[in-house]
Amino acid sequence: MSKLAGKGLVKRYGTKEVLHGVSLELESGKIYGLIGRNGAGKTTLLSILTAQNPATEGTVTLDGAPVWENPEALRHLCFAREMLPLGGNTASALKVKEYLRIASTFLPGWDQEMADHLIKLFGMEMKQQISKLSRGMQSMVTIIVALASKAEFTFLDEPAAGLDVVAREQFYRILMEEFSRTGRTFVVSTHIIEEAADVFEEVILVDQGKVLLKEETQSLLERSFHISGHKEQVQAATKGLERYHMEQMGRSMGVTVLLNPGQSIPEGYEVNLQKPSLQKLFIALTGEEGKSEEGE
Amino acid sequence: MMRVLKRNVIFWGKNVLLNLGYSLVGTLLLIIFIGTGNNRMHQNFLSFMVPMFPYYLFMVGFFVNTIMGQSNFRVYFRVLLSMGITRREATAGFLGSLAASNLGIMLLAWLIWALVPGELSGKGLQMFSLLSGVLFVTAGVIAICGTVVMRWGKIGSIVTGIFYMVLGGGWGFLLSYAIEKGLNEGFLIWTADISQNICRRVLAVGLGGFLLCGVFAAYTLRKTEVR
Repeated sequence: MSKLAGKGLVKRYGTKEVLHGVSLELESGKIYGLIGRNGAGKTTLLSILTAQNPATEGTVTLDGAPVWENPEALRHLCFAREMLPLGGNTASALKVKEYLRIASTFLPGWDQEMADHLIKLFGMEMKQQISKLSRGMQSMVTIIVALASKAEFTFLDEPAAGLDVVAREQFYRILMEEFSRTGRTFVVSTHIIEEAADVFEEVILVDQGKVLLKEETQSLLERSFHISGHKEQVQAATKGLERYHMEQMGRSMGVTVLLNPGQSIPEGYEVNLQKPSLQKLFIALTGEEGKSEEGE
Repeated sequence: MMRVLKRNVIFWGKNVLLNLGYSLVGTLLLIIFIGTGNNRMHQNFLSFMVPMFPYYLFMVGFFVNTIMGQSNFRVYFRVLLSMGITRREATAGFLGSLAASNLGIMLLAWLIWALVPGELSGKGLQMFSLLSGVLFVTAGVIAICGTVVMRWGKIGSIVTGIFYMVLGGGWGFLLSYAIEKGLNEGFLIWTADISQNICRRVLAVGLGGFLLCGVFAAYTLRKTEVR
């Protein structure tokens, strides 16, 4: 089983540090969801893990071998990055046909049959310049490259951005089918968490250049609760627990808690317990009031 | 190794063939354009045009390589990195394509001159090293300019833009001067005096310069970011 590991990754642009010593291990045969707010460092992290950008400090290895400028390691990785308007990503200046031709030439595991199938499915206009495509169609180009690359570790940066709800549904279905068939590892960064939550086997939450948590989605949801009720009752019920995102309205209060091993919500308090969705939990953990604190 | 070589030959080979195609078409158009006002060409079209073709091919090749080389580097370098190839491979592929374009032009020119003997062809063969050297110097400049754009972004684009403007202006001035003085004959008389020794030195300088520019490109781009 392959393992892609980033150790002590720091990224600085001038004096601005955007990644602060991130360490992360990705195992093969999983679908990871990389979630985080805008500017949290998701794309930077993905681009460093795939050696598209150098880390200021730290190393990335695939089964112990450095990934940076290592063709043997790089052939197992594919980072389908979000297309940017002209000037940023030069891929936008190319026609779809040309871009996919380059992908088919340079990605060693390229599956032309799959690419053709996806092109037909998405109704891709091959002669169109990428910059002139709608945002959704641009996302589809990156999805085609990612899926047809057949890379062992495939990274998708905001693949659902710009896709309508039907196309998103289609994408996640195809992703799951491909995963079931091949057991490839997918790392999907997204803002649209609700729809993707069922797909992610593990979730990696990035906030302000740090990995806040990396955990199996199911176990994370199992240990998270939203507790609401009378302020005094909520405070008493959550005493000693990790509390996030406290909301107060008059004498009512709501708070999200993450239980650590051995902890439970004490009984005997008049509070409402709810299981938050992954999206609600994400907001609780990364929102402005999302600072963790131990209930007193 | 073979896999890496094969994919680069496939990818860059297409660009090289395109460059050669553009150069040939451009040369044909130029020679027809210039030939319409030349008496010698009217008198003996084929025997004059064919040996003159390589001279113009070198000149047009210089422009095509400059424009296409610069554009290819800007567009493809980051795209290739995003496909998971190393910076070394991308740089080597780009430099290789420039060299291959030059070699293609040189081969075509040499073949024409060798197969169509005559005074003009003979002079062409004498100057072959000189013209090839200039072509490689140009390729080196393209590599440097492409690298500057990749490494320093907008500032690099402005700097190389100014450079090309000055180069274009200078070339335009020289060309109009040469036409005024009689391009074909004047050029040939001037070059006839250049010894083979100097021609070979120019070729050596061109090749050496190109290699040095390649080293500069590889070093400067070793940590290029993909955005």
